[in-house]
Amino acid sequence: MEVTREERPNIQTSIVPEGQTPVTAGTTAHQALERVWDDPPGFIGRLCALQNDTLGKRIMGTAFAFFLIGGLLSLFMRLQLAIPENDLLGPDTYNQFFTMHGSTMMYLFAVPMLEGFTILILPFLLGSREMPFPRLGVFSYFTFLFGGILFYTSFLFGSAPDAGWFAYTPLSGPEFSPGLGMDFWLLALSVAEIGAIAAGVEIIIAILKMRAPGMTISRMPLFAWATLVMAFSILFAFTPLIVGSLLLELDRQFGTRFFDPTAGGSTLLWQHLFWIFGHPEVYIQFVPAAGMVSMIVPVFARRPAAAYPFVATSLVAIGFISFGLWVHHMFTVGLPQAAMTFFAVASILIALPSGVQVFAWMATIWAGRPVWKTPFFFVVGSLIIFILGGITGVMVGSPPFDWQVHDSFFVVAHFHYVLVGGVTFPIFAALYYWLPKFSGKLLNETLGRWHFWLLFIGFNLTFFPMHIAGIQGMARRVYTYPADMGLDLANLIATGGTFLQAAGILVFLANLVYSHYKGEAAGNNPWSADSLEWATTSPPPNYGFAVMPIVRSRHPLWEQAELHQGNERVEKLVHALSLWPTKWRAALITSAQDARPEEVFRVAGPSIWPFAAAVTMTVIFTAEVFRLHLLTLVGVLGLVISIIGWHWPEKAPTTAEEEAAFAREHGIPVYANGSRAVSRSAMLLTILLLAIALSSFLFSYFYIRIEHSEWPPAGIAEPPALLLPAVAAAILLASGAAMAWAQRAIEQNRRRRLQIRLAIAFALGIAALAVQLYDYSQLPFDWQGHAYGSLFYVLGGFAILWLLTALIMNGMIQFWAWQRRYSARHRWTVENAALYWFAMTAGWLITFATLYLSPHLT
Amino acid sequence: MTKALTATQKRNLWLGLLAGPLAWATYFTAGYLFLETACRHATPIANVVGLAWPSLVIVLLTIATLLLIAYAGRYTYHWWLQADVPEYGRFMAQAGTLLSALFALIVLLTGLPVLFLPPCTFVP
Repeated sequence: MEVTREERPNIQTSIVPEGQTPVTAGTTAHQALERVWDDPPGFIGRLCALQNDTLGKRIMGTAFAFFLIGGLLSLFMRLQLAIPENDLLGPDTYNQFFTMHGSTMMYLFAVPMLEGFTILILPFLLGSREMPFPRLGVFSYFTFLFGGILFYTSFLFGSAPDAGWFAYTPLSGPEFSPGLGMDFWLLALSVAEIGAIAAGVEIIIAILKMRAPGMTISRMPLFAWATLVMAFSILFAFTPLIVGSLLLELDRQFGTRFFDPTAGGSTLLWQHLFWIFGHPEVYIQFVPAAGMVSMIVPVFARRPAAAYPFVATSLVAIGFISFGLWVHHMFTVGLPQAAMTFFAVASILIALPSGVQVFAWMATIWAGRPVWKTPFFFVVGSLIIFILGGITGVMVGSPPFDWQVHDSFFVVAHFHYVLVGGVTFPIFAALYYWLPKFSGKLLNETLGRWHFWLLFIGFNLTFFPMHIAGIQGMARRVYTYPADMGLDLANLIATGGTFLQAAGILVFLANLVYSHYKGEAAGNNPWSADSLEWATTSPPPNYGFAVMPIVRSRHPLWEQAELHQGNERVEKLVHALSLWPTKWRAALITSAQDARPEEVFRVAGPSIWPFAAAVTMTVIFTAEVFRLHLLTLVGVLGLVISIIGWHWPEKAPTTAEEEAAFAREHGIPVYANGSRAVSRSAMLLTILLLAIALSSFLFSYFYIRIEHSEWPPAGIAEPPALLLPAVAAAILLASGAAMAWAQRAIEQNRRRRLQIRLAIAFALGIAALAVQLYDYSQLPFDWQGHAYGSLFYVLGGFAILWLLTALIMNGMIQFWAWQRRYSARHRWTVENAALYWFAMTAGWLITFATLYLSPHLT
Repeated sequence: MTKALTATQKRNLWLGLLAGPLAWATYFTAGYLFLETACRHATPIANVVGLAWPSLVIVLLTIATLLLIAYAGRYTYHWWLQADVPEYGRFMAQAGTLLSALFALIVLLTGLPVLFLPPCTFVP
C-alpha cells in the first residue's frame, strides 16, 4: 500500500529519499517509559485511563454511536414524509424525532467527534507526549457519555424533548412544555456541553504551549490552527448557551420570569442567547473539518498545501466572523433595518475566508498529481457538496431572500449541504486516513469506494430535491404535507436517497469489522504523509515520542532527513528527556510563537477523581430533571469533594537537587510539582470562561432593560439603596489587597505571613458575603414577580457563587500552606489562586454596579 | 541574519495579528447594541447634517474603527517587509496584515448601508 515514487513526483522540495521517510528515534529506556505512560489495568483502571489515544478513541466511538442513533431517527422521519398525508409517526412523535435528531447530531455527534479526533491525534501531530490535562480529558469523556445517556433516557419516560434543537421560548417554557422533556434537553445537554468546554481548554493549551521544539507558529500543521480556532470558539459559544439554559431552567422550575413577556421578560432574549451559540456552533464543526481536509489534500495531491498563510489566516478570520452572524437566524422577528445589515454583511462576507480555504484546496489539487485513495474521494465529495451549501448560504444571508425561504425545506437542504459536505464527509476522510495509525490496519479500499459512492449519491438524492420542495413552499418541522402540491415526487426521491446513505454507513461498519480481522498492515507511514504522527509506529507506543522531534520545516517528514537534528542545546535536551525522568510523566513546554523549550513539567497521572467528578456532576443535573433538590445538594457536595481530591498534591517524585541539576545542565527549569506556564494558562482560560458567562448575564440584563422605558419598572421596585452593597464591595476590595499581600509573602519565602494573609483575605471575603446577603434579605421584591427581580437575584447569585468558589480555593491553599507545601520556588498555586481572587473581585464589582448603580443612572 | 525578538516585540505581534478582528468585534458589538437601544427609545429620530442621528453615530464609529485598523495594518505591514525578522515573526506580521485588510473591508461594508437606508425602520 506504500505510495510509490511515480505517484509523488511533485514534491520538489523533498530531500528525503523515497520510501525512507524518517522515523523517530528509540531509547534504551523504552520499557520504563512505556510503563510510566501506560494506563492502569483492571476495571477501575479503565475508569482512570487517561492516555490521549484511549480517550480520543472512546470519545469518537461514543460520538459515532450517537451518529448511528441520530441517523436512525432521520430514517423514520423520511419514511413519514415519503408520501403525503402519512400517519406513520404522527405529529407528536415527529416533533420528538426531529428535535432528537438535530440535537444528537449537533451536540452528541459532531462536536464530540471532532474534539475526540483532536485529542487523539494532536499530541502526535505536535510531536509531544500527551495532552496537558489528561484528567480533564477523562472528565470531559464521562460527562459527554453520561449527558448523552441522560438525554436519551427521556424516551424511557415517554417525554423526549419536542421543541426543536433550538428550543424557542415560549414553546419550551413552563406554560407550553409542562412535561419533563425540555428539562432533559436543557440539563442533559448542559452536562455534555461542560464536557466540550473542558476539552476545549486543554486543546488550546496543548497547541499553544506543547509543540515540539522548532515547530514555530508558522510551521504548525493546519489542523492545529483549525482546532485552536475551534477550541476558542467553543469557549465563547457554549458558555452563553449554558447561561441561557440555566435561565430557562430557572423559569421552568423556580418561577423566574426571564422569558415571560407578561412579567417583563423577553422571548427574543432566548433566541439571542441560543444563536450566539448556535451559529458559531456550525463553524465549530466546519473549521476543524476544514483543518482535516487541509491535512489530507496535500498528502494525496503529493505537494505541499498552497497558500498556507492565507489558509491559516482565514481560519482565524472565520472564527471571529462566525460570532457576528447569529441574528441571520432571526431576520424574520423584526429588527431595526441598520442592525439587520450588520448581520447580513457578516453573513455574506464570511464566504470570503471560507472561499479562500476552498480555492487553496483546489489550487493544491490542481498543481499536484492526485492519488485517488478513499480519503481523497471523501475530500473531493466534501468539496462539491460544501460549495453548493456555501452558495445557498450566501443566498439566505440576504434578508429579503431569507424572508421567502425561512422555515422551509430550502433551509433544511442548505444546512445539510453545509454540515454533511463540510463536516461529515471530512470526518469520514479523516477516519480512513488516520484510523490506520491507531489500529495498525488499513481500511479496505473497495469497501471504501462503495461507502463513498453510496453516501455521495444517496446524499444528493436526499437533499437536492429539498431545495425545490422548499421553494415550492414545503414547511420544515411539520409532520406531513397535502397531496397535489407538487411535493410528492421530491419527497419520495429524498426518502429513497436516505436509504442509500444508510446502506453506505452499513458498508463502512462492515469495513471496520473486516479491517479489524483482515486489514492490511499499515506500517508507519502508509500514505507517505508529511506530518509528525506518521514518524511513529502504528499503533504508536504509550509515550508517543521517546526522543521528541526537532522541527525545521512545515513538512518535517518530507523535508527533514532526520527528525532529531537542530540546535545543539535542544538536541541534547530531547535526548536527555528520553532517559530521564522515567519514573514520572514528563512533558516539555515550549513558547507559543517560536517553540523554544521553556520548562519540563509533570503531566498528571491516572486518578479516579475525574470520573467521580463526572458522576457527581451528572447526579446534580439528573436530580434537577426530576426536581429532587436534596439529591442535587448531595451531588454538589460530592462534586466539591471530587474536585478537591482531583487536585490533591502528590508527593514530589523528584528531589530539588535532581531538578536543579537538570536545570543547570539544560538551561530550563523542571517542575515535577506542577507547571507554571500550564497552570497559569489554565487559570487565565478559566477566568476567560467566567468573564464570558458574566457577559452573557449582563447582556441578558441590558437586553431586558432596553425593552422597558422605566427601570426598575414602576410598581415593582424603587431604585435600590446603595449603602450596604458599597460596604460589601469595599470589604471585598480590601480582601483583594490582602490576597496580593499574601502573594508578596510567598515570593519572599515567608510562609508564616502567607498563612496569616490568606486567612485575612478569607475572613474579609466572608464578611463581604455576609453584608451582601443581609442586603438581599431586605429586598422588597422576590425573583418570581417580575423579570427585574429575577435578574436581580440570579446575577447577584452568580457573583456570590463565584465568591464561594474563590473561598473554597482559598481554604484549600490555606490548608496546604499550613502543611508547608509552598515556597518561593513552588508558589504557582498561590499565584493562580490570587489571580482567581482578583478576577472574582472585578466580576463582583461589575455585577453589583450593574444591579445597584445602573438604575440610578438611567 | 535574523535576530531573536524581544518579549515586547512578540507581544506586539500578537496584538498586530488580532487588532483587525478585535477592532471589528468591538465595533460590531457596540454598533449593534447602540442601534437596538437608540431605535427603541428615541422616536421621532432627529436629523443631524442630513443624516438620522443614529446613522451619523454609526458613520463616525465606522471611520474611527477603520483608522484604528489602518494603523494596526500599517504596523504589521512594516514588519512583514523586514528581512531580518525571524520567519515566524514575518508570518505573524503577514497574517496580521491580511486580517486587517479583510476586517477593514467588513467594517466598511457594514457601515455603508446607513447612508442609504433609514436606520430604525423595523423590518420585515
